[in-house]
Amino acid sequence: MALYGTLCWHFFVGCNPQGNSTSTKSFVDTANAAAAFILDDSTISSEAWMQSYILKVRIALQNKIPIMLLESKDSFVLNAQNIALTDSRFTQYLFDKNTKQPLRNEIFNIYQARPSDLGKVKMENNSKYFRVELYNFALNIATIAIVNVTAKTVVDVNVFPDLQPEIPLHLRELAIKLAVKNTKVCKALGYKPGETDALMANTKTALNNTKCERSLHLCVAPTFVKKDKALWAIIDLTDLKLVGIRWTEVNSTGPGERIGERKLKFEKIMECYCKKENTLTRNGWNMKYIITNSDGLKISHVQFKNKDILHSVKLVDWHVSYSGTDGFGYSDAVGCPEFSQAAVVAVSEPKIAELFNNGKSVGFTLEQSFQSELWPQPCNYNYLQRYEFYNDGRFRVAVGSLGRGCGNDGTYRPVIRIFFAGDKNTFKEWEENKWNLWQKEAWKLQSDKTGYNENGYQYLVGINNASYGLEPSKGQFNDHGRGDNAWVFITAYNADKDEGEKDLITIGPCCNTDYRQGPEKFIEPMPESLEKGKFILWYVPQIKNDNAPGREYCWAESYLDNGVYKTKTYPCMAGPMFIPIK
Amino acid sequence: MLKFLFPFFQLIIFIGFSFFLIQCNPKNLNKTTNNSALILLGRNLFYETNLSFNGTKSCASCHSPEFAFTDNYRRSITATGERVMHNAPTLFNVFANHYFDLANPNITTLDSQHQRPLLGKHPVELGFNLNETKILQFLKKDKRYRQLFSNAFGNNLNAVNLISITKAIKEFVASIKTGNSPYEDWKLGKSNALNNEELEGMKLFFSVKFKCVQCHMEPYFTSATSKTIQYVYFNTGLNNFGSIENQPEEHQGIYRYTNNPKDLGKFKAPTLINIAFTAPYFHDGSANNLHEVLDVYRNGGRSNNGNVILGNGIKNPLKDHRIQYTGMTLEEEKKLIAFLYSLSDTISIKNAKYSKPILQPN
Repeated sequence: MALYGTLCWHFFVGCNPQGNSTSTKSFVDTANAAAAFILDDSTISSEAWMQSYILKVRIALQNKIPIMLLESKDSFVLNAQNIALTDSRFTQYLFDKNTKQPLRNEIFNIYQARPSDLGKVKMENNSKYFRVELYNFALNIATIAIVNVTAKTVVDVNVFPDLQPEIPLHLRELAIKLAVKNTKVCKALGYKPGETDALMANTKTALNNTKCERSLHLCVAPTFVKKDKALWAIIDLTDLKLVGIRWTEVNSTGPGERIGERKLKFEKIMECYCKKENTLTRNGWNMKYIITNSDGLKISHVQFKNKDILHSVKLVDWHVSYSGTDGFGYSDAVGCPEFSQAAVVAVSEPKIAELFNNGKSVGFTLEQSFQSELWPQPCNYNYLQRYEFYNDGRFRVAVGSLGRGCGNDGTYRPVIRIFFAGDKNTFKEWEENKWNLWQKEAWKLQSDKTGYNENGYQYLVGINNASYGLEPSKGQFNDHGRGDNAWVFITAYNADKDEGEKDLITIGPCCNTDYRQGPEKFIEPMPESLEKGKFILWYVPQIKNDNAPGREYCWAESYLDNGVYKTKTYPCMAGPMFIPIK
Repeated sequence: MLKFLFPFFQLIIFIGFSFFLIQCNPKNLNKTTNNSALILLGRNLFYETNLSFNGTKSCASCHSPEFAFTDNYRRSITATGERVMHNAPTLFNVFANHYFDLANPNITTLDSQHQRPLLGKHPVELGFNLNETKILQFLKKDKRYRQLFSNAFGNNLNAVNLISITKAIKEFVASIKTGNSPYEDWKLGKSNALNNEELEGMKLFFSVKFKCVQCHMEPYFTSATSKTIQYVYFNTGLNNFGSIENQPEEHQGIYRYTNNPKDLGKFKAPTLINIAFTAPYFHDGSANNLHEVLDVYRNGGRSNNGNVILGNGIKNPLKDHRIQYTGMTLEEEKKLIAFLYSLSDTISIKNAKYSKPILQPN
């Protein structure tokens, strides 16, 4: 009996469901993010730097113009800021439309505008122009104003929904602190990292199944290299917290190739190629070129034998994805060395060289390289832009990477913007054995099933009365390319809208695997007609890197040669050729 | 009075103790009461990153419906940042398989297949066993999982264990099926489900010239459904490392388990259903697209362009005798690709019953 009693006691106590049910994490979603910061590590919220930043946000929200202003000792910068604040176009998204509550807004960057920032804005003599970038955290909107500080006027304002300006220094530092102080990061690394260990902390990222997905929030990924792996600490700067950690494999390598005389070169690059346009006339071709703040090397007013061919071409972004399922990576821009906090900058002057085929000169190239400081170490990048111009009128817009990057199974998606000259242009696609005219803005992916005509052309571009076949790279251009697998977008040109005419902030999330690469923003929700005859072609190749021995692509490695470190590169190139049809 | 009630109390105690014995019997803890509830539990667990020791990976991290239950990696990255041995296979129709691993012939049940991602050590994939107590605690405390486990196994917290987790995930995975591709429609009698190009491609696929169907057997275009091991694993002449010593582990195939030198480089022929969505291809993900795949079958292997590390796969002496130069033309390639695309079941890929449950919090 006693035994039964004991057993029953165990029955009732031992097998009874216990514990209080704990609800899983709940997420507060409010337009006023400052009032609902969610910090997953309670010790961080008490840190002085965190409290200081939150206090600044709260003070800003209480102001009449609820914008956190940029702190600067430069009177021009402060003037530009003040002038921008007087323009209602610039301040139109400061309050919730229904409740009239203030939304979290912050001035991210202010710098002297360069020719590539101005677009059609006519520069007045003796006037100084500044570019002022505002970010609305609540609505994920970037607003950019061009200010004439001399005349004290705002000359242009453009609003970019779902786009984010470049990350300012103070937010970069905040992101690093959020990463290094987080216990999850320390646990994953096995040690507490120092702030200087963080790489790429100002480069935007995304992470699926979080609010960083598709860059709906402002997110960055300070990255820490540990032996042959890299730990990504994905920081949500809207919610001020770590939202996830992920690993990539990077393989170990020797020291980086420091660029000699870096600072001297930067000054020359800035003075000669960033602040002014250069002219190039060669082999029947005429054009202007300039290194932009964030859209790479831009060519414009391109003519062949005095016929207008291209209005402008530039490289808007590099999207690098290290996971199709998790969707994390970098949205990067390349440009002038003094552009805000960009990590991958022009480190040499543009190069012009002869193009040879079977020993015979067939044209010339205009090339520009952009490089991270410690390349080819892991999480450092080396990008190349190459324009090819042939004596027979062909031209090619090519881009490439020379590694190394932050993972050995990544996909690079450079976003190229090609604006054709002329105003009676047409765009046709080879489908079902004939050319089909595109009547509206649209996009298309080059896949295994894509058809090409007998010359290998996928599209036909009509530029006024001339026609050009568009031939994607399938590895046939003797540049180690392995195929473009490109998205093509056609967007109608609108003179009254800035859809990339000026320097564009990073246009898309890093890591979408579908058509949402950035240019679709200028198409959705209602595609416009192309009947006006002026359009822009956006070309987004998809390049998968590889570090498998014998199959390296988009990769770089250091090796010892007679006791000295050297770099071996395995470049990947992509980009279409345009062939005039006679 | 007590004298009369005493037997009654004895009876109650006896019944109660017997109930206790039944409920707490490990076998009975995992006995499901409801198969659809089991599948729903498995679906939730499939997408649950808290099943990994550090909360960063779930089954879906490497098997996402967006990529027809693969992940677009050459070789997936685990929760510890290491790479798994081979390219992640699709989970569509695995219920019909007899062999489940690309290169391990000993895995012949779905149950044994699930041991590796949950408990494997070389490399650690999810690392469930590295944090088992905490993971189980989470599942027991979470309101949603308590309900799901209760629906599947009855109201007993001790049913929350590795066995029931594996069982639930296995049932969910076994439920992932296709049946709506144009080819499958055509097989069911819808004569206009395939266009001329696809029909021509189908003929080539089944032809004596290309013999694709000999390894990619119907109905799921894989060798994994064969019960005879000789018909499951093949060397397709992708590489030629020269000797066993030079052959990297990931390229050894079933030799790693059989130790038979003739098995070097032999891998299972995976399903071609939904192949349009499962790039990159081959056991190492070395082919980025179907052109590169078909190049191998055009040339009778892969030459690797004289690369001394990879060797000339065309001349691999262990290559399957059926992998020969075919001289596939571009037109034939186009038709074959059209046919392969007709094996795409986009309806099943987007089927809500396979997707991440909506209530799953971020």
